Amino acid sequence: MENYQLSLAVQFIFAGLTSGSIYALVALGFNMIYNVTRVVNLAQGEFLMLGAMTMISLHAGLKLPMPVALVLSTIIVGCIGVVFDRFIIRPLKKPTLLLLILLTLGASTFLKGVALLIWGKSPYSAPTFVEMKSISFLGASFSPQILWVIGTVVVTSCSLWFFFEKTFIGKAMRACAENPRAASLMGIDVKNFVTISFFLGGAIGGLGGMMIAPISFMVYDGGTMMGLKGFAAAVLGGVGSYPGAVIGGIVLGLLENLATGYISSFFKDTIAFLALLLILFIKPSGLMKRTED
Amino acid sequence: MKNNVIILAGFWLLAFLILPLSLPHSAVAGKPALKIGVNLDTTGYAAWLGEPELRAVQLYAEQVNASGGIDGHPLELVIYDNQSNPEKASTNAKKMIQRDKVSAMIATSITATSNAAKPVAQAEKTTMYSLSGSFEPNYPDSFSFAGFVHTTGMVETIYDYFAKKGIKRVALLCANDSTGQTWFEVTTREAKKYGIQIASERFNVNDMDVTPQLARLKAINPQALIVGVSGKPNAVVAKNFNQMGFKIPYVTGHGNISDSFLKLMEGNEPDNLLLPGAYFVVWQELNNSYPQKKIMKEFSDAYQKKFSKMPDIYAVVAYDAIRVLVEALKRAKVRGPEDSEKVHSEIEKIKNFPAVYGGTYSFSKDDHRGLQKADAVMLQVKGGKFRLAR
Repeated sequence: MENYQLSLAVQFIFAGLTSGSIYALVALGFNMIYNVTRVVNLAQGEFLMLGAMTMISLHAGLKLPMPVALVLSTIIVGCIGVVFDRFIIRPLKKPTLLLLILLTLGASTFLKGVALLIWGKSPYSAPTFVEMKSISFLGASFSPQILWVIGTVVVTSCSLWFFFEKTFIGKAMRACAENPRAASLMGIDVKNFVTISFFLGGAIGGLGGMMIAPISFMVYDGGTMMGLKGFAAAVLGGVGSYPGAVIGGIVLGLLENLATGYISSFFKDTIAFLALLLILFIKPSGLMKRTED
Repeated sequence: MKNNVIILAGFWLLAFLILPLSLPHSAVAGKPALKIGVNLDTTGYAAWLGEPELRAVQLYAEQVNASGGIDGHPLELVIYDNQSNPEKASTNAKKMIQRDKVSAMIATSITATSNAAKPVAQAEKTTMYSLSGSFEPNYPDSFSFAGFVHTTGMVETIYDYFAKKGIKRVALLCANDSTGQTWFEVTTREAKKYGIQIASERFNVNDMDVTPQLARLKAINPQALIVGVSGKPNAVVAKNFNQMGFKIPYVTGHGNISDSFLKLMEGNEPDNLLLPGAYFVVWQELNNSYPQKKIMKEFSDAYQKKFSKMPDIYAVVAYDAIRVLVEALKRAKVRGPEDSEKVHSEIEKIKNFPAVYGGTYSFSKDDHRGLQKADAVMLQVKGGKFRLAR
């Protein structure tokens, strides 16, 4: 019986890590765009959906091998992010916060509509990246895809850290985030960095979708809930903080799945948003951010 | 002035020439047409149900009129689309009863719209036949009827199959929506009668991972899993189910009898995927001695010939619904809207009426579906097709 309890706990934790990683990827993309542009991008979930759908189309439709489909669709969704910026955000003469939020909300509905036209209402699913039987660990068993999901988050966050701390472009981007005016006075072309941030935001979001496509399935409106949870994760960790995004995502995923496992599945979504409310009451700046600004 | 009169007279003449052509043959034949209202969800989100249903109803009307109508009265369909919108379904029902004077109506494709049309049918004392499997037509003095074997009959079919296979411990995973709620209530209630031990968990229809629930269900070492959900979420549950190495039968609801379900499960099919359903789905597999095989084949052939596609289960339910209505109109000798109140009590007298769905319709005052457990059958998905479960 003890063994059973142990395997249960392991199962819950891995389920939590999986969904937490996806939330983390959404939150990372969200922060990426927010940091450079102060745009609260509510269409981040749609990038996730587009990533999954594009990859499935390239792999199943055009018969491209999985790694090629993966790289190609990451780039494609990144480019959609850029187009998103060029045609929706940039033409704004007076970008106020409310206007920007409404615009991204509209864009999210628009992207869903386009996806509905292209892919229809049916759900799509991808095969696991590596043909493998399910893994057994301490009596719990799960899809090998989980390792990919967790790996992607680790690799993405490490390379982001490296990019921002160690490279010149990364440092310049941080400068844009701190103070765009001063940055442009220092000779940094802020507009270019906005484009880069949208590219990266789209690409990371898309990557999240590609990672869950083999575990779950994707429908044209499947990104919205993920986007919302990712947003919650970003707030939980502290808006704008990259380590915060990862930790917020993982904490949220674990909370949800432990609540499902040990309390009741009715509480799954409740727990996520309860955590969000609590953090907003107690520490509005989020888990990983100091209270200043 | 004179010119005007001539032109006017010309129009008059023209009108007399054209009018008879444009009228349905009924007026020419002499006897007035009997009207049946068709209030279906042919657009909107339930259009995938409404479309085949409308086609089947039109096919039957054509067949009836080709063979002389209802005692010489031609059958006329009054067709309105409710756009899968409850409000529209209600106004459509009012319009067809008050303005178009229908004698009975087929309304509607889903529970939400049927529930909206129900009070209108009740107030106007006009029979309505719903095509929704989870709509509740049985209540005192009801003017509503509905297609499909009710969920209780479907669950009994599953449990009979379990009894045959010696399955006593069952894991139950139901969605947090209305379908899941119904399945949860009925499966747990019926389990007591069958002496089946149940462990139950719930999940959200948009969950992407149900491994925590499945892990907990493992506790009773189940011999079968029942998944109370229709459509998409089955893909997630089935994936997790396979990943966790379950080898037990995977049973899901009758709302999944569709090609899109087969497509959904492609590649993630559990080894033993079962669901309760209708004999029609597997009519080609049935013995020639099965009494309804002949009408099943006739319907399937006629539908394919007219629409160049296979009829699905929803088309069958609609076809049966209008067959029952027309049978009642005949038996009650309905001659117009003034007799419409007779229709529902006449349907209640219909017994052993062969169903294209499979089995027979036997209605009564307390049973407005007319189909029983015996009219349902266990199906198995094998190689991307529905088969009779062995």
